[in-house]
Amino acid sequence: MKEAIKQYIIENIIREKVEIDLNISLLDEGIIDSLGYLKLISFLEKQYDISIDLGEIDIENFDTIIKIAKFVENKLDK
Amino acid sequence: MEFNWTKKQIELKKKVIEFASKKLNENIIEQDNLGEFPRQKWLDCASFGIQGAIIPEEYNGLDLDISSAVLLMEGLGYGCKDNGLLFSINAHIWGCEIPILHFGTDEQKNKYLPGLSKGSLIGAHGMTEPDSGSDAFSLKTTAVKKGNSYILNGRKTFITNAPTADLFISYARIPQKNHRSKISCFIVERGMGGVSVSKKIDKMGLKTSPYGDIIFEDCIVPEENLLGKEGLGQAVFNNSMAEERAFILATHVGLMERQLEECLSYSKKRIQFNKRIFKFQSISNMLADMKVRLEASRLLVYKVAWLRDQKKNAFLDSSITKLFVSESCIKNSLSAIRIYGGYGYSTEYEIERQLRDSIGSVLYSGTSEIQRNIIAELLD
Repeated sequence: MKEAIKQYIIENIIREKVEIDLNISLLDEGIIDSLGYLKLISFLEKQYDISIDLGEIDIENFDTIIKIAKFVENKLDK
Repeated sequence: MEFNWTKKQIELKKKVIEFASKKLNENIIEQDNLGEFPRQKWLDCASFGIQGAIIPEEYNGLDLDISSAVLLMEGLGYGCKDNGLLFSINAHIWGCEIPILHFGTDEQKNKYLPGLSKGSLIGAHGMTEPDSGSDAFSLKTTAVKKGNSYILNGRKTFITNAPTADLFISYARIPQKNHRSKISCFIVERGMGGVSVSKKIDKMGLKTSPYGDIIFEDCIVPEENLLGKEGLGQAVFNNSMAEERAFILATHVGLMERQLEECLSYSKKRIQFNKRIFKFQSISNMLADMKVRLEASRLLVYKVAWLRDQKKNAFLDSSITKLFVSESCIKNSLSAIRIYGGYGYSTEYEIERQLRDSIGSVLYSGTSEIQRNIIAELLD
């Protein structure tokens, strides 16, 4: 799942061939802006058939790819 | 998708139309000329329950679901001709109440929502700055933690309700190490030291909705007034905008419906060249286009309301709705002036004011250009 999220970010948001560390802060490093997050959420909802409320998008859940994957896994477990 | 409203929803809409028609339409021309905020009408709306439409009952609200609130606002837009008053109410609900409702602590909700719902507190949403409009997150206002407070410095501009507001939902950067910062959101009270408001800014339309700058000069905000957590500012803003973008235009649907009815009535009475002007294709075509834009706008707003009531993602639909409804309102308002001719151009008939008021809708809550960017990105 981490790899799928990483690939989506690279191909659809950054749109350049780059490497992203799974632990890097996407916000602090300016990798994703607010519009990018909207796209990412739409992707995660469709890809994993989950529902994400905007209020859940905080730095604890969405700051790194690892945290995003964990957030999605928790949603799926529920 | 179910298109029928319940009896209760229809009844509420009828009541608000009756209330608005009787209580909210006096002296608008004069108040518009003077740029005067209609405080008594604001309080009358609060007594009806409008400012508390989406607030839970425990905080003195009507606790309506989003769809019912949208129908209420549509009715309000139909019955009330003071678009400035409606704009102030919308900014208060979607820009101030929603962030506190969705992200506030119980203490914050208990402290602020009852007053916001009753209209005794007026809210404003402070994001835009002199150097950051569409590029909202390049804001420069800072919030430095000091003891149990944050010290805010910066300036917000073009803030609806600022001259009259008691609360300002304000966004600022909390500096971190390595030149990073966390955009965060604060509930700033007017009485807090170091906050001031500029004189009212005059504008083209929506003149009864006051508009001004908020200035923070070593403004001391207690840490319990942080809204959400440090770094949650973008989420708070996006959440607020996603709701505001669609719902702020529910009143426009009501306006367009009333506008069309008035234009139809006028065109069936006005005789030129020995026939009602309705019979001229150039007029009837305009009316037909007005009807199409009205009904498409209505369906878009209803769909977003339905999605949000289902707790579904409505990013794309919100932007589509904002873009289409705002642009439609301008087109319909211009058509109304053309149908009324010289009378439409004069202030007395209150037609020209609708066009002046509607122009703002392609600027606030994200310009039409930004909505197109969002739509294109989300399509990709």
